Amino acid sequence: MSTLTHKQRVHNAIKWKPVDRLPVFTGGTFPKLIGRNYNRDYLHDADAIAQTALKQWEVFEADAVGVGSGGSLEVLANAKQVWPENDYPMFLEPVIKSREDVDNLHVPTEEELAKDERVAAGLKAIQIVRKALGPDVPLTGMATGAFNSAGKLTGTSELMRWLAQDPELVWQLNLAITQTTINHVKLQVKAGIDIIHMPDATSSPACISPKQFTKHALPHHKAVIQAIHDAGAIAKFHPCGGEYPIIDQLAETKADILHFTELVDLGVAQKIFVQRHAVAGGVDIVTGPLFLGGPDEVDAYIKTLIEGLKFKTGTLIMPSCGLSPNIPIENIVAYVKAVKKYSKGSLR
Amino acid sequence: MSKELILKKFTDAVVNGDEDLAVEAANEAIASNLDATEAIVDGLSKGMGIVGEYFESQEYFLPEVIVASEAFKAGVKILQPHIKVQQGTKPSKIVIGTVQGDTHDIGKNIVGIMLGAAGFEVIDVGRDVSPKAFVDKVKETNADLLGLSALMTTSMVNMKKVLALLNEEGVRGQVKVMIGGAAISQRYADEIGADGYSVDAVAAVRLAQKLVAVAA
Ligand code: B12
Ligand SMILES: [Zn+2]
Repeated sequence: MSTLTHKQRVHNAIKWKPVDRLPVFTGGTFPKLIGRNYNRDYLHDADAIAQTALKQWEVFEADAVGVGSGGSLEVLANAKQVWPENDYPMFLEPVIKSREDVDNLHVPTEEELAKDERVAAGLKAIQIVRKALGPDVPLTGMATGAFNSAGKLTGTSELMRWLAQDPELVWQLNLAITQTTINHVKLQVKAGIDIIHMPDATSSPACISPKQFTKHALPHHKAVIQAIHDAGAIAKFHPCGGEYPIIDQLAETKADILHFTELVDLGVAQKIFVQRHAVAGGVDIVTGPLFLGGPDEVDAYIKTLIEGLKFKTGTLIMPSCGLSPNIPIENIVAYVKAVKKYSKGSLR
Repeated sequence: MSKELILKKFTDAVVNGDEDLAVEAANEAIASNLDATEAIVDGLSKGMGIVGEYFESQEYFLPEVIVASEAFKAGVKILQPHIKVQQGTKPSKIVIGTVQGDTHDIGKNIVGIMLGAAGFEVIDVGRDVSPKAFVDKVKETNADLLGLSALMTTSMVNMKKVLALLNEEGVRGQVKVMIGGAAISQRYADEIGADGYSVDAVAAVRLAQKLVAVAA
């Protein structure tokens, strides 16, 4: 079969149509590739975000590249996170502490969001990258799931307590977050994003029960995914932890791609979702060689992974969760090469 | 009210995550001169043990466990000043914390509470804890066990640094190190030379009991 463009390959794989080889994504943000640190300055610097994405595109040679876009939660909360050097941003104190705080939330419009410096930097970076790479390169954006975001605002333990004692309040908070996220999704897609990555570890069975997921999380996830589709983009949902007990519900999200952690066997996921949803994952970042091994071990690992897959489409090879900045770059390069090598050729 | 009824109230309070009921039971226990240690062990801790089982069997998830531990803590807080200091058998001590660069502490807190409920003396050093702070605390308290938690692949490497510093300071031999958290595996525990790994809080209690039994 002749070579497909990156976009064709991803689109075909999502529709379970024949591909020349499996698409491969890396995820992760590595500003160190352009000599920058991941900090406040970086995330407010459209050029630096764009240059990082372009460099990752060049070095990793995967089938898509992420262009970091965040900040909408800070606009909703009207509070700024702190930015420890080379660590992740966080709210030092809970910013939502009571029903009154929830009542006082104002959902920012698209215009209001776009005025925020960090949101604006992310959007501008998307435009720069799109212009530089042309229309054929799939760009991935971000829509953090409602529970994950709510936990950042209230503190995760406190959110869990609310869910046990005052679920209606959690609903109201998540509604504001969902509407904010939808507005941010629209902006990202207009700026040039094709695929929205949507992780929500805090609504996974790592935290809440499958029943709580059905009642309190799924409706929000569905709303965001519907909005992603309405905007014309592809939705990739990542339950991020302990997902077998909700695997039956994942179809209901209507996400185009279901991205599993290392806890779900990608081969099994293929068999469950064949011809319905594309599945993604397979590369265990917890016990696998990407983090703990070297390039040769990575190569052998990918060979075994791909040989074990029954279907050679309907699938995106990806790390089982976000790559942390200390993963050796040469391992990522070896991983992408290996996927290309072992999934090529005799594919249907 | 009979002792059995009060103890049952404690257990129910924890299992149902009812803080008010735990406070009520604690006040009744004090009023009826119930031994505080007995109230904690056979009432509150028994409840926490049941919660642990429900958590392990996925009947309970974080929301239920969090409200249960709130009820547990509320009861212990009232009973604590009434505990009669016992001579003789001393509980095993564990220093526990989340390693540097990592602020995830829900899992570590649950492990701490379950260990406390199982009779360990738990010294919680918090989260984002430097290797030096861990080692200093181990020395200061003469702990039997050190529990390290990490949930991120970025922070788990700091576990290795804690072990290295224990060695450097010559105290590695006197403390058993157990590790856990979502990023951790048995492979990693073996690689860095920790004494044990466990997947959840109930298994962590079993592991701790095993490790102190071996040491004794
Ligand atoms: C809740 C949560 C948060 C909360 C933490 C709140 C808090 N106070 O702890 C918040 C929102 C603040 C948060 C922040 C972040 N998080 Co977070 N978080 C989670 C989540 C959803 C659940 C963790 C949890 O509490 N689980 C429930 C508890 C009960 O389980 P547990 O911790 O595993 O503990 C059990 C066992 O592991 C064991 N155990 C735990 N500790 C110990 C210790 C010993 C000695 C033993 C024996 C056993 C043991 O027993 C426990 C009880 O059974 C996980 C997802 C997941 N699948 O785990 C992500 C996760 C851990 N987070 C992650 C990330 C990346 C982050 C952030 C960087 C995100 C960001 N960009 O802001 C920041 C980190 C900031 C920092 N520097 O630390 C990643 C880590 C990826 C990786 N492999 O490196 C995960 C896997 C998911 C994700 N992609 O978002 N997070
Ligand atoms: Zn994940």
